[in-house]
Amino acid sequence: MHGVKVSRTGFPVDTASDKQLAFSSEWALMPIEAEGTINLTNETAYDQVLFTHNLGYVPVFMIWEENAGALYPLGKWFPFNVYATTTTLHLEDTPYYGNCTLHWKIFRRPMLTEYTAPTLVSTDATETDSGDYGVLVSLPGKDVESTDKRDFSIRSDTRQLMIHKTGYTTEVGFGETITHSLGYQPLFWLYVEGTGRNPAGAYNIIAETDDFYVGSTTTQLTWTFNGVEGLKFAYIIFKDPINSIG
Amino acid sequence: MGKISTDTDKVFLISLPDKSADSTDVLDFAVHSGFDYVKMEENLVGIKDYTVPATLSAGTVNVLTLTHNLGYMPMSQTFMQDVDGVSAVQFTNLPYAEASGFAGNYFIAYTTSTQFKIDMVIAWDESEWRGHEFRFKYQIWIND
Repeated sequence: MHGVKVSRTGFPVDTASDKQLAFSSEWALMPIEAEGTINLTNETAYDQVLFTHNLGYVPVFMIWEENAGALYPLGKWFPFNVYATTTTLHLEDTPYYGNCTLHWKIFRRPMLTEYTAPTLVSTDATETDSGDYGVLVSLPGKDVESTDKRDFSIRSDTRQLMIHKTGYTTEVGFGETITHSLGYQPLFWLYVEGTGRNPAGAYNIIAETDDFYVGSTTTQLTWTFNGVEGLKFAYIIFKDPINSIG
Repeated sequence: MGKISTDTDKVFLISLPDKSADSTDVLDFAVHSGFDYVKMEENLVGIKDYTVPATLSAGTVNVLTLTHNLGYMPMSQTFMQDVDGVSAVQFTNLPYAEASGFAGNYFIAYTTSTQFKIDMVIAWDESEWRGHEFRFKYQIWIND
């Protein structure tokens, strides 16, 4: 048994629980493959490729809307209809709340992959450590002495998004229940193959609406869609609680 | 902007269990220095409990303002738990509307170059949210 684990600032590495780690060789993080922006004109319909990634799989992605000097996750009022395929990230939507800039990030992580990380330590350690040491890894071409934390690939004095479980559904029901057994209610991202408006094989972000509900318990992630039957979903569960600091 | 990763970088690599550190497949690594990762400062991750007033009027109510002073608009994400509503295990990302359409009531979260805010935007004063307790989990990333 060998490997690397680095605890977050303040937690002794020998007793820190999984979610109190900055990173571990036992599970993956969320490497950013590409990112970009596009300026959008109000009430203009867009149907275009944002980026050709050519990864050969549908990658995990996330979006934000910049509008009047503020940056909103997903969108100012609604998530933009941005979808990923095995080759591209695509925008098919119309902004209605003013000119704006769409920001996107693609992660080097296949959305349609069954993966479960181990649960090694589930009992939280007491925060006692001084935190006066750790690991700094600067990005290519950046100085490890930089005071701008954006210049770093990874730092043990910051939290990262640690993946606990990913997967996807292929059945034709109105929802699904996924067992995670983390012992706390975890943070998640959900995607759907929105064939009502997008091509087959294209996945967009889905958040709760009038007819879509998501439950996160200490053992399960459950979602119910009372709209169209038979949609395919993909999910990511993180080693991070959704309703506590953790 | 576009691809920002460097697959060939080999300064700091930690492979996943049963994977070779000499692999050329980035998916075989827990950490790869050729890639930027989502990063969060400890003091920019938190919880906010909020009880909607029993009486509402149209307008914007600030639920939380947090000063980050990063000097740029960082990425963020916020989840809302309906603690006292339909179900304590039910969660959604923000933005979230009480009812579909622009005329509805919303919770929104956003960053500026100096602050992070969660706001409740009220269009209907007859909101079913009145008196409900909500919990928000927010993460402000260092990434922009």
